[in-house]
Amino acid sequence: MWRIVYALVGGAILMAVVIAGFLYYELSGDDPETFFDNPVKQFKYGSTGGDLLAGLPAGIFKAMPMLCRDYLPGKGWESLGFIFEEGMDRPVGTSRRHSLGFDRIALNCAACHVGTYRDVPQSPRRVVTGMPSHRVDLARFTKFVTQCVLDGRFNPWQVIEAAEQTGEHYSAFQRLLIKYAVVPAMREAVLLVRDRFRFLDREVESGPGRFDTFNPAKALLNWPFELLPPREAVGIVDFPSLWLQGPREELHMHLHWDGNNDSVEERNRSASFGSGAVPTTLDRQSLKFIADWLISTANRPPKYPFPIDAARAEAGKPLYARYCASCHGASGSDFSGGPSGHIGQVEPIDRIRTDPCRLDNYTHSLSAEQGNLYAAYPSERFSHFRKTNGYANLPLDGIWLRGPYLHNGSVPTIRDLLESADRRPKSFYRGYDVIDQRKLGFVSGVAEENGVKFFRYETQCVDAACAGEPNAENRHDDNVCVPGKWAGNSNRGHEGADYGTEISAEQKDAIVEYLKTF
Amino acid sequence: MALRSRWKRWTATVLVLVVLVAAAGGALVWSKFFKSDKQQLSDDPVARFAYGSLDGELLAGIPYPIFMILPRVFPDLVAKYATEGYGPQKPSYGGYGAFGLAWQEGERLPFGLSIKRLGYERVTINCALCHTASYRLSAEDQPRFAVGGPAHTLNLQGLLRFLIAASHDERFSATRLIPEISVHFPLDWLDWGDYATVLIPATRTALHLVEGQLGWMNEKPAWGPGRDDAFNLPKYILTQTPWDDTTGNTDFPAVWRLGTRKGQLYHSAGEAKSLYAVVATSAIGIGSLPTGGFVERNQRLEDFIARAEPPKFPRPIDAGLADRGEALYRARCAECHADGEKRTGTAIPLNELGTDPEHIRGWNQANADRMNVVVLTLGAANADVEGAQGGYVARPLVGLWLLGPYLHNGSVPTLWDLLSPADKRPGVFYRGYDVVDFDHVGFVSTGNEAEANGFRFDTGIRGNGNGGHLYGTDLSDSDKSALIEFLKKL
Repeated sequence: MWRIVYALVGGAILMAVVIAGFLYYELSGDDPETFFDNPVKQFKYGSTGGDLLAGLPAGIFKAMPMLCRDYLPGKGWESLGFIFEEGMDRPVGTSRRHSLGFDRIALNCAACHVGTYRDVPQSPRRVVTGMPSHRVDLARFTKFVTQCVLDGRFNPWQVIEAAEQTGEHYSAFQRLLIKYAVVPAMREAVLLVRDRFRFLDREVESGPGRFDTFNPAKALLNWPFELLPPREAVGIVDFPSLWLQGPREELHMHLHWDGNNDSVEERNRSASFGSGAVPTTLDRQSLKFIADWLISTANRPPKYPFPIDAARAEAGKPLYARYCASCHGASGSDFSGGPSGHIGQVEPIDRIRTDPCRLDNYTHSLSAEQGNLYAAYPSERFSHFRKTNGYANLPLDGIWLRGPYLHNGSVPTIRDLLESADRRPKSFYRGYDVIDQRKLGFVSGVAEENGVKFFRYETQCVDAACAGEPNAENRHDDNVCVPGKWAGNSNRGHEGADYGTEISAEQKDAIVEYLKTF
Repeated sequence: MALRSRWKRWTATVLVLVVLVAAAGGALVWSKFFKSDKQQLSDDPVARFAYGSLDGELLAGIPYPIFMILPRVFPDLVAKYATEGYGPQKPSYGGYGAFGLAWQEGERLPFGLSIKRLGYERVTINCALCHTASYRLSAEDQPRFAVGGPAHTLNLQGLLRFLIAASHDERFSATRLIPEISVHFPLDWLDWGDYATVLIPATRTALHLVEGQLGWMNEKPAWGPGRDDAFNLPKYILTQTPWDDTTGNTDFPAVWRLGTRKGQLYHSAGEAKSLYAVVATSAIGIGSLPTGGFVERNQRLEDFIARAEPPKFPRPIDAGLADRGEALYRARCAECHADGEKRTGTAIPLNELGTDPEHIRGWNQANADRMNVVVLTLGAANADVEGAQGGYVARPLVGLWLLGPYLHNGSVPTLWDLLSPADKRPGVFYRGYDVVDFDHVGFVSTGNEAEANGFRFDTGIRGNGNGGHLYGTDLSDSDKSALIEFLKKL
């Protein structure tokens, strides 16, 4: 009798140990895919640690564009602007990491900082690391994932079937996990993100190459967006380039469009939140490796690959020196600005007069609270964030690849930027990647190519139908963000005699030509 | 025999095991909950005043990770309690900033909050919470901070109500708080257990206890930002005196240059006769026990506030006008407010002064005696606190431009208003908005911005009376301007 009890108890204990061991073996691993022999590849495909929190099982990530294809503007992740390279089964800007029983995929830095260009429509796309991902539409990505995961098709059976159609094979245990953990957890996560990212519904559509960058920080802190002052609602900015971070760091340049932080290291970790890398999941080894490469001299923009009219560029040089150099540096690699230079410093809003919404979106209260984000790690605590009163003067390295211009990407080409605001295009198309060799930037008049529609950017109301909307002209006369449908999209500012918008057309062309050497 | 010795051996083994397990458990509990670390803080006296611990962690410490994430779990409660009593347009920020705490960028917590490890990191408050002024020079300026100045933006009552309301909310649970904490703090399974079974329930219970001690607040006029019920707090809580119907809402004073006040009376109504008494009773009042470094720390604090200086008036001063004003000051104000004059630092009798009497009614000699007994019982040197002295203390004027609203109850928004007859002073204004009013001297208290960001202060409410102190109200407008020009220099 007792023997049977002992045997049963012993058996139960043994079984529990075996099950615990199995679960531990299956779920405990943490194995990021790394490319430590190749910094560029690590930047494009390495992990920030965000995949530990936000990573989707690889099969599901690959299956989603098929499973929910009607929610996408075209075919595959490419239709949201993601770039696929030879030999990789996932787009640039994604990392892969084995944790919690799956290979999981999440976005990384390169999602927003690797772009493409073409010489002419027929030529192949060239992928440039560190260039703004001007074709990637993160807002639509967010929307697509939300729609797909909350769709009826996103049930365990269809998810597993679709994932296995991409070549993935799941064990019985993994199927169990997908059914009882992955799918429910993804729905929970998407609901949470949809709620926290509700600021997206309160601002103009960002379109490709742009995203709201500090409202997500408020979302992390769960601020009540509805109760914040209206002037603080919109924070959409263009993705910046990431070249030549070393000189920027050495010169203590103010980073982010409003110059709210002068530490490259803090900026990197702050941006990593966007990939899901919170303090407890941050992959410090990978990020350090990437950061070292970012500040190295190897991280520089490619040279302008098209012909440059040497004589005209030469004529542009003194004009540039006169109108641009003290704010933007002597050249594309020499960031000194002479005795009165203030490169990388903040230009007060009442001088630069560009769209004030992004500036108003970042507040003293937010900068103070950011000191808390790395609270548990004294040596990593953010201590450089400051509220500023304008936008930072940026060096112009690789400027030919950084269109559209200004912090909100509201001016399609450099040549347009040299006109006063009333002569700049009121609307244009973004996301097309053929270089505009005459005006410098990307060709901005193409609405559609081979069935792919491009995003129409409106700086204000442009037809009679919307004339009755509040602030239809998108004016911010007091340099304070005025709410309205187009708030954040104004193409005003950076104009007047000091900014070179009053010189002759010939002189403007000469400056454009000279900027091609940057 | 053999059986007995075997039993003995068993018993001994079991006993040893029990002792070992208990010791290990005890060591674990000690290191998890009570092991104290020296605070990581620079030696800078300002930093120590701003963020230094008063060693109140044992009684009054909230675990830092819990404290930090509360606003983001309860943004609705932040919005409710940070805006209650304010103008209808009051925007609500998430986070503790919503309660008007002065928060320097790059710091872990606002001025007046200390983090110190006692087992785990715990947040306590210190002097700087109510004695750091936050101000801006214009609506587009960013906050500036004057350590030692009155925290006129701090909505202490709203903050307390928020914490209490959160502790009653079903979201104040391990299920909801731990995931939020684990985003920022690495938690192992042991921590997970601590939070779920000890720290979160204990914090909740402690906040319920606080609520019990503060119940009287709900029957009395609102404090509003920059004020608290200065002597009812210790009366009801420290000395456990039965609640009565007094109301003593008092402006937070500045603690600048107190070294010049030896021999004078302290507090609004002269309740203390020495800086020692002020510091020691205030420290005890916020949970600091008279053990360990109590005496030395209080001495350091006394030294600091004896010499702390206000920032200078940040705009040009018309020297000629100010000179004319100085003569008026000498003639009309100096007798009570200038250093070394005979009435400076004394209590001016209420029947002469005529300001609101409520504060005085709340604290008599019996209350003071009870307080002295508590202080002695806890083991500190006698503070020799006294009952209110039948009037309000005429203080030396230090950093006057940052001390608005004026009078002990903060019932008069600007110096210009204070120089106006009582019936010309605003009956309703908005306080807690932080933009300096350079013309009238004080803070902007009317207009859209003040209404959108300030607390609606009604002088008709009990304890908020704006009468009295009619000195100088008979001067001509040009004399008043001259006098104010001089007062900017103080």
